[in-house]
Amino acid sequence: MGKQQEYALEIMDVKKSFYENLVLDGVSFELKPGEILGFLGANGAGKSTLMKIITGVYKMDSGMIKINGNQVSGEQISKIRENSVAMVYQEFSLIPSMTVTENLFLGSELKKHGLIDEKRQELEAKNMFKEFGIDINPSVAVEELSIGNQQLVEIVKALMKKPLVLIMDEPTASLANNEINLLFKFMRKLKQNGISIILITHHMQEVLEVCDRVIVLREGKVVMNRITDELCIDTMVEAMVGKAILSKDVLQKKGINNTQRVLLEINNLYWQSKLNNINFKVHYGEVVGIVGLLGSGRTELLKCLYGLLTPTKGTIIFDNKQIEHKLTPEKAIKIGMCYVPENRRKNGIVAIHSVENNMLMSIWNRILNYGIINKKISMQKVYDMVKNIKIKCVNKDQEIRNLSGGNQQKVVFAKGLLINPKLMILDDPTVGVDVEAKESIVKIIREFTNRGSAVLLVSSEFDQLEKICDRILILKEGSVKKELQYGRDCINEITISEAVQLN
Amino acid sequence: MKTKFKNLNREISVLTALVVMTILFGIINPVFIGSDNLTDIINQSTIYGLMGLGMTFVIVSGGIDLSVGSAFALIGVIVSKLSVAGMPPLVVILTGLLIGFLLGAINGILISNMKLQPFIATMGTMSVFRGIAYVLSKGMPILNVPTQFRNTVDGIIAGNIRISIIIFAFFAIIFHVLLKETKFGNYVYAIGGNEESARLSGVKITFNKIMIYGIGMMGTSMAALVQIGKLGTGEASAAQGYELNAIAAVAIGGASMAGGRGGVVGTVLGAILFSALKVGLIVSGVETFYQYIATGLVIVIAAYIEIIQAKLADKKGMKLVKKEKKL
Repeated sequence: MGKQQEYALEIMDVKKSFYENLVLDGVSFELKPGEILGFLGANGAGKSTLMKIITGVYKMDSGMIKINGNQVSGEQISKIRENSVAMVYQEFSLIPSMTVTENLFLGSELKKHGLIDEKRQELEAKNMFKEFGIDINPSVAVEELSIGNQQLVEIVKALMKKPLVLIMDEPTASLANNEINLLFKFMRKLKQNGISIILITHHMQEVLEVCDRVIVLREGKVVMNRITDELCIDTMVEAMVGKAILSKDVLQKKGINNTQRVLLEINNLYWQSKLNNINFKVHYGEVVGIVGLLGSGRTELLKCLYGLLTPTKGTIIFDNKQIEHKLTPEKAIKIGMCYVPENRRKNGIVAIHSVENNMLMSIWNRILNYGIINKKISMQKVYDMVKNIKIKCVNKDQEIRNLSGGNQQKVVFAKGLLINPKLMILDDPTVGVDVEAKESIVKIIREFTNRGSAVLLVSSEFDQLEKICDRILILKEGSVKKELQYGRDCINEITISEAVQLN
Repeated sequence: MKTKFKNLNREISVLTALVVMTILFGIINPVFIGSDNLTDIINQSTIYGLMGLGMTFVIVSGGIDLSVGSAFALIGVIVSKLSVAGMPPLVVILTGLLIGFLLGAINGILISNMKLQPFIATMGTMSVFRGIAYVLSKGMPILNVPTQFRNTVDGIIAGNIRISIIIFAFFAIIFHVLLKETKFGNYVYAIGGNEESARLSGVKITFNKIMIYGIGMMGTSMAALVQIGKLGTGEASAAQGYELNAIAAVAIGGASMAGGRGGVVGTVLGAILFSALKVGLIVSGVETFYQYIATGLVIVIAAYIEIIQAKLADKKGMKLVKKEKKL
């Protein structure tokens, strides 16, 4: 590792453009050994480009990078970087069917007489875990671990080459609260061991909790570089977006009253051992939030409503009609529901297809002309949606994977809205999208319910729930443990999180 | 306008390859570009072309069908028996198509209801269909298919145009419209692109997969009917390895084996290119053994071009993203 330098990483005036577009416009910052640096920025601000330059995926156009005091350039560039910078990506690179040890040593196996020395690998893995205070059995298959533990293994794997700098790209995206705490504990441990961490995230709260310093990137420039202690969430958001957002008027909430018509009524719903006697109602025009830790049955509940799981017991009454037969997504759409799934890439979009084909997937049967698709109507529908909810795309034929995460999610919303549903079922719709897109999604939800329809929303982001929910149901071990109602109870991040932690 | 061109990129490169190949073979042996020879090339492309049309649906949906060669033989045996027994040609054709649909639907059921991997499921039915063909024909060729039937599917009209070519064109148009202009076609792409997203968007996966394999096999049925018309004989040992040629036509045409991409136009061009290559090598006096090598290389090269084009498209996509940011 060499002797300790003042800075683990120095970035000086790095510039990068793709074609004629300047993506990084002279970025400079330093990272001290053992410092945790929060890295914020809206999608497209240049975060990933910068990280790719640091890890050596892209070449910079101009500027300088020093790692541990050594300038990295020319031939050794990749070698120095390889040995001192490690990156943990958002998507796991672990192979689920292989054991933890096998995953850790994949590609750099310890050998004995040409064969893999499993014993030594296992021992080293155990030592590694012990050193960082992690309680994971290295000989179990990765798929048997919780998501949180998989994330830790992923990080340990990155630490195998003993880097100076560890870059983490939204490591908390798929974690439950207790797992996030575990991760933060681990990060502090790494900090003590002198490893510097760059944490890329969309969650301001996390930044305040774990980071020493925060850098905000906007349009390829560092617009803020301050010690966390001086900061609050509003300052960071403002720096990211560049203007004060949150127009309070769209967020008008309605306390419900008993005279409102009931859209959805769930009675004594059970599903295997995950859902135990769930009862609640959703009224027309209402946004009902559902919170609960991972494993509380929140996803299962939504899946039962949308016909992805069949309830073992109980009744669902939708729009005054009891759902008699086995529900399927196709039938759910027919009676007026739509669903925005949790994992956009995996379940929400067809990445290689156009904006148009993604948006209209659920309603092709409604724009037919003697069995042939009516191109005029389909074009009009896409055009209207793009305009209404401000989707940034070049044209309707652009492949959706080339859109930013926020815009992809807007297309998924558009697909649902085009069904003309009475009820939108949303599973964590603001995960992994930037602040601006979050705001527009909140707006879409509000406008939708202002027209009389209802929304059932699962979210792990309590600040989002606070903003839009008329009512919040707290789910625990498969049943509704508590209900917070706007106008009756105080709804904010703290009360929600207290209710969730409640025993 | 620009986007239309982009979507046709692959078709244009196959067409270019076809033209270049024609010119090259024409230089080596002028006979190659004689009108008789060119007609012959199209003629020879009808069988793999028709099979490829159906295979396009299957591959675009993210699947594969290895049983088409055996199904070809089985359908051939049945229709030649029916024809020899005196059934009118049109009824024979409709029956042949129906049987094809049913055989394909069996594959579809194995794959969608019973969740078998397409590769394994159709490898199983490949053997079963072949076996049934042998059982039905008792291993003997069915000879003397009536001329009336043969003329219906492969006769010559309007001077010197073979009916089989018209049938191929007709099927190509139907399959193209079905894939590009209908809800079903969009579902085929969606299922191939991301089955889970399609399911959550309300696409009936099971039903549509059965239809995909059923309709897909109708292309093979028509190919078998045309072949019987050409040869006048039905045989259980027919069409060995044809499934690979059908897949090759689709692959050369630019469909992605991972699903979600591809089209009928590409497949038609792919089938013609495949047949032009074969004829060209024969006309140029290349020995049969080398022909295998050459065709194999063409498939590999075509697949590689597909990869390069995808990369270029990605770059273009990136460019568009940056533009979007500026807007």
